[in-house]
Amino acid sequence: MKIELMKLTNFRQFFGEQTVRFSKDATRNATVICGVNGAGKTSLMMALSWCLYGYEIENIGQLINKQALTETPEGFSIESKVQLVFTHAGERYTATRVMKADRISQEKWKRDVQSRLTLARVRSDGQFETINNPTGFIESILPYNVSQYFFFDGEKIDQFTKPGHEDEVKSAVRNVLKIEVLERARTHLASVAKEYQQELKKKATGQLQTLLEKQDKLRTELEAQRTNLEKLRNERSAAQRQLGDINEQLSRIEEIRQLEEQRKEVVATIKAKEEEKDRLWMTIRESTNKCFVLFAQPALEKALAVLDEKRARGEIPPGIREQFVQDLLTQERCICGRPVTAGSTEHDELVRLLGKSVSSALENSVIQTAGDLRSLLTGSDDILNQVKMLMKQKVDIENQIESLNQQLDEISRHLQGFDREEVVVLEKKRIEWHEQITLLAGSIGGSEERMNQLRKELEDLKVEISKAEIHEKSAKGLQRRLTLSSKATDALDRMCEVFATDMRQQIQKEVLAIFGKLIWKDSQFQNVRISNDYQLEVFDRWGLPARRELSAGERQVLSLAFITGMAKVTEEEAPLVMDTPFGRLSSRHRENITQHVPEITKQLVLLVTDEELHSRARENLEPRIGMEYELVFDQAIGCTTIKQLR
Amino acid sequence: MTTKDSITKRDRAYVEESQIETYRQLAGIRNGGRKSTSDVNPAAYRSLKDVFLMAASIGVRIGRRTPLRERKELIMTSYLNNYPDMAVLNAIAIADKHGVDVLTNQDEIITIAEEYANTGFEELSRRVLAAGIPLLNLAAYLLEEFGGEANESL
Repeated sequence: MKIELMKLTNFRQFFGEQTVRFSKDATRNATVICGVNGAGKTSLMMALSWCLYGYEIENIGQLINKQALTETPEGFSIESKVQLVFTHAGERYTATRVMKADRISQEKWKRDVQSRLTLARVRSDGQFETINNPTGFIESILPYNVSQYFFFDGEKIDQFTKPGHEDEVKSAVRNVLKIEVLERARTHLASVAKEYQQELKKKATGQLQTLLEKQDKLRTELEAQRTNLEKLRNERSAAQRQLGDINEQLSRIEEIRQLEEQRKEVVATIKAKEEEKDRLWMTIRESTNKCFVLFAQPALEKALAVLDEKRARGEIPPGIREQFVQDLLTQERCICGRPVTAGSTEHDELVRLLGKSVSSALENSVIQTAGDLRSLLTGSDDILNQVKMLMKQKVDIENQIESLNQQLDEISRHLQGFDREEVVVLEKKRIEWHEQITLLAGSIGGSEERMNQLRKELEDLKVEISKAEIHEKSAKGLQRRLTLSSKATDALDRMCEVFATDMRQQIQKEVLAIFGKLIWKDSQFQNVRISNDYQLEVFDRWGLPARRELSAGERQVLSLAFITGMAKVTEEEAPLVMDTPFGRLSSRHRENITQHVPEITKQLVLLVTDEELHSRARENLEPRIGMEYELVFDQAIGCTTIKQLR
Repeated sequence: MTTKDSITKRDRAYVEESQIETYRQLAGIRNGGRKSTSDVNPAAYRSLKDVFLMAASIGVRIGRRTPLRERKELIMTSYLNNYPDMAVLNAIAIADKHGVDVLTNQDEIITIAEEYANTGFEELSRRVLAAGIPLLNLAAYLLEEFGGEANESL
């Protein structure tokens, strides 16, 4: 979707007809609308949303311009209207939303129960075609729950990065990427499969019925485990948030700052060591897997002895090559030049030689194998030494981790005996939450393992069921439909998982790239991640989570990076409309945003105060500004006029 | 028909059907072919091929071939590289046959490997899947067999 123009008629503080044209240029893709506080920037944003979706405004007093209302005589009606012209997929559309009100008396108004939306496709020659179901059509272009990430209030967007708002991130990703659609399809298919199963149970008898009942039981347990797993993951997320809060509280207590810093360092070191150990596991596996050569050593030695014997006897490589003898026979001429005719003694001798010769394929194989075996036998000691060395390294790392954990315990003991009750209480709570998280991790692992077991049992059972006798013809047909819907459910399950993971990783990559461009302290942050349970986290240069330490402005930048990152990944194309995006941001951030955000989106609309956009920020944006307006508030009538500056 | 210059090919390697699940367990392959991605306790083997080669080599050490009764496909032979995989299997075949002619018959080379693997698999799975972490059990097994005493702290 690309917006071209918006025309307001008696909409909120905009009296009469007022029009804004949006820049459509590919390079100069920014439209800047300046206005002081209260001039109508947010009203313009609301106009856009209201026109497309009809939400945001309930109170008639908030909708229809008050000056227009006052001027409407009794017995007459007044309209508030927003028209939006936009293009989508090569076609131009006009959306018009109208709310009418009739003045019954001086104080009494009768308004429409709800606003009316019409949508028309407009051709270049002016002909138009009205679209049926305009609401559904607009939903299909840009769903309402996705539009919130393209049209947003700059002062509120840091909700994504505020502690305790992880659900916002999850919701955003799921809405924008339409994961819910897949999940709904999966749930529907699962219920269809269940219905077939119930019908089949009624029809089937004997062994098949027993198997189907068992299958039913396993599926029910699998669903219960799935629900349980979700619950456990949510509990773990909540516990991690609690732990994060307590760590933050501890870090703010001056008397223990040094100890907390020390603890942070030790935690970071343990993490690094654990990662090193994880990499070492892979190397250990590589090395041990090569050791099959050691078991085969007797065979290698025996084979090499056979090959050496062949070589010693002159059999391989042969003294005389097969091809050479073949050529002599074909030419019917001896090596000395004398003729060799068929049936002669010389001819028979050559044929005998040919029979003894070794094929070139075999010759090559033997030579290659001999070389390989020599190499393997020489290198066998190295293989084992490598394993020994790696195992020793593993033990060393484990000892180091053990020692570091002891340091952590020591710090904790110190804090538990500290001469300030607040510290003692917090430390005890910290330990409890830590233990809780460990227990939950165990439960989650157990639940995942049980789910794998159940899936395996169901797979085996499927085979048994398909082997069982099904007499009734209708049972066969039901079985086929049940199998199909079960397979489709499983496939969708896997697809959801893979898709969600893939998309989450893509968004993460984009968010990291954009955040790096927008934040001025980019050297202080090394990574941005969206975890499996949709927690948006930023990591400082030491690899530690740093979201809680971000300032309000930095959170806003992170949120902006998240939104624009999502916008890049999603298939939805829509303008980025930002209302007061720079309010809490320092000049460095403003400069970075004005430099980079126009590159990220095809169309940008900025609703700003003059204070927000000045100096370097204005300079950065200047080459990208296609249209510029000022909202001029007239104190006399309490209305705003949209004045075009360029 | 094979000529003197041609090599008889085989495109799959087989194992006993009853062993397939344990092969997959050793290579960390879960239901639906999904590989376990856990780095905390990685599977002892990187792939099914690696399990097969180890089982065959252990079978050679034991010194006995066991023909397959109910065979099931394990891997495509194209997964076996020339060095060291096929070099070792070739050597096993030469040693078994006391001759080099077997090198032109890949079908026979693989059959010999399958039967040694069938012998060696029980010992392999018993040692590696004993109590504890399979990869550590494998390392301990190797050090015990070839490197003196196993390190106790394993």
